[in-house]
Amino acid sequence: MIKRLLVITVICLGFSVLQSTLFIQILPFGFVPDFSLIFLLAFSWHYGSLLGSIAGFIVGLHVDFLSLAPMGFHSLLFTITGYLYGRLQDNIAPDIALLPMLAALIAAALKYGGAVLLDLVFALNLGMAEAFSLTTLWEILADILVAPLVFFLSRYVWQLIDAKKGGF
Amino acid sequence: MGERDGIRSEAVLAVFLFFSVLLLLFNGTLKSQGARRNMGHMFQGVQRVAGVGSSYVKNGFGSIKRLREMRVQYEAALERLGKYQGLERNLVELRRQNSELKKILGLSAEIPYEHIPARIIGGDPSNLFSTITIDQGLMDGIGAGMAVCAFQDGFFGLLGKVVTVSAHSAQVRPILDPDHFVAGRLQKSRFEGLINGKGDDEGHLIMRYVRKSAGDSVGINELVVTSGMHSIYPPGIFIGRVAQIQTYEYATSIELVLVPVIDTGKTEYVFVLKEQETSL
Repeated sequence: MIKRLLVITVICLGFSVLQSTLFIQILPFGFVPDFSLIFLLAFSWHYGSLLGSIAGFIVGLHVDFLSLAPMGFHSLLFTITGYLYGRLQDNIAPDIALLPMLAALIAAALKYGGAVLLDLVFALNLGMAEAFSLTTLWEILADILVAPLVFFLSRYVWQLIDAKKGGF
Repeated sequence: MGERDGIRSEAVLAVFLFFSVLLLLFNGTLKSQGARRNMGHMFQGVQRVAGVGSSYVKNGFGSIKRLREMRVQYEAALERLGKYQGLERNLVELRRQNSELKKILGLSAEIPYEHIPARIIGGDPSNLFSTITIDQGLMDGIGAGMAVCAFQDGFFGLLGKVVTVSAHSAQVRPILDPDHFVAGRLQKSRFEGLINGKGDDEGHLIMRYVRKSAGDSVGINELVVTSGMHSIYPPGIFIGRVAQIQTYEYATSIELVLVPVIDTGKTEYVFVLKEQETSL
């Protein structure tokens, strides 16, 4: 369990750092997918809601540190996302490309909808009413497009973690 | 077994939601205690290393693009000069950097305030916030609350303020952020107001609490500067230009929509102004 959480934390931290440094420089028009969120979806879907919510909290917390977000902002959103996608574990398998795309779309809606709600409830003054802009649409589109690839690649990562676990 | 797992995961969810809400509720307290700053050191360190690495990769991408353009135009000549391509590419990049740095050095000498030059190495991992990360930190003399400025199109303008500092990098909250307030003054008509980010995609600012009597004397494109009143920002630094004047019948003041003079998307280098003793 700790190894799985460690792997997802390292992957998501790596992607968060790359999103904030390399990707925003080389990708045009804010077309930067939220790789850490999509990896979190894939992880939660594969390992269930218990690990999903723990991973969501950890990943969210380090995104809070990297951005100017109020502490607890992303951790709350990602914990809920991790839990909800973990519930899908025994019900639906993310086999076809359409499901990861749909998952990314719903996760982005959860993220932005949740952000507006938190802004209102905690009076954070984040200007979320104006957050739904062209950049937001680009990000959601980018999330949808890369989701099948991330889900596909994540399978190998999970195989690697689980194979090593059983091999020794 | 399955039911127990379900209960466990719901308990874990509840615990983490509780922690997240606690963090959100005590956000201000955590900040003031510096807990966030201390924890953020590690992540910002990683971000700094990635930022430096990514600038190399970015330069690599730029070189590939230039190479492609040159290939179309000088295909025959490039065949002969193939072995010099890498060298030439580096030379062009070095020259560009050299002229840019010379320009910055020249501009830096013009700044009347004591300052520390820095380079932007990162942004926000998500689109929800407008974080900027610079490559200078505590060890270079940067402190929280310092004003960050930049040169663009002949203007020395305000970009934001330092919020958190780690050993070798710092996070800057730009003036575009709705949670960032600056005391401003209209350069010509001298009316004062409070400026913060509008939070829209175009990066507009909004200047509030400007006296209603200013309505007639304020013109479109009039420049707005920092007032220096009860503020961390020295007076006279350009903030933006008036793009729109909003008057409401019921309000006692008017609101001005401003276009910032510094476009954060185009800014590469910034100057962090050191805190100074106020002489007035």
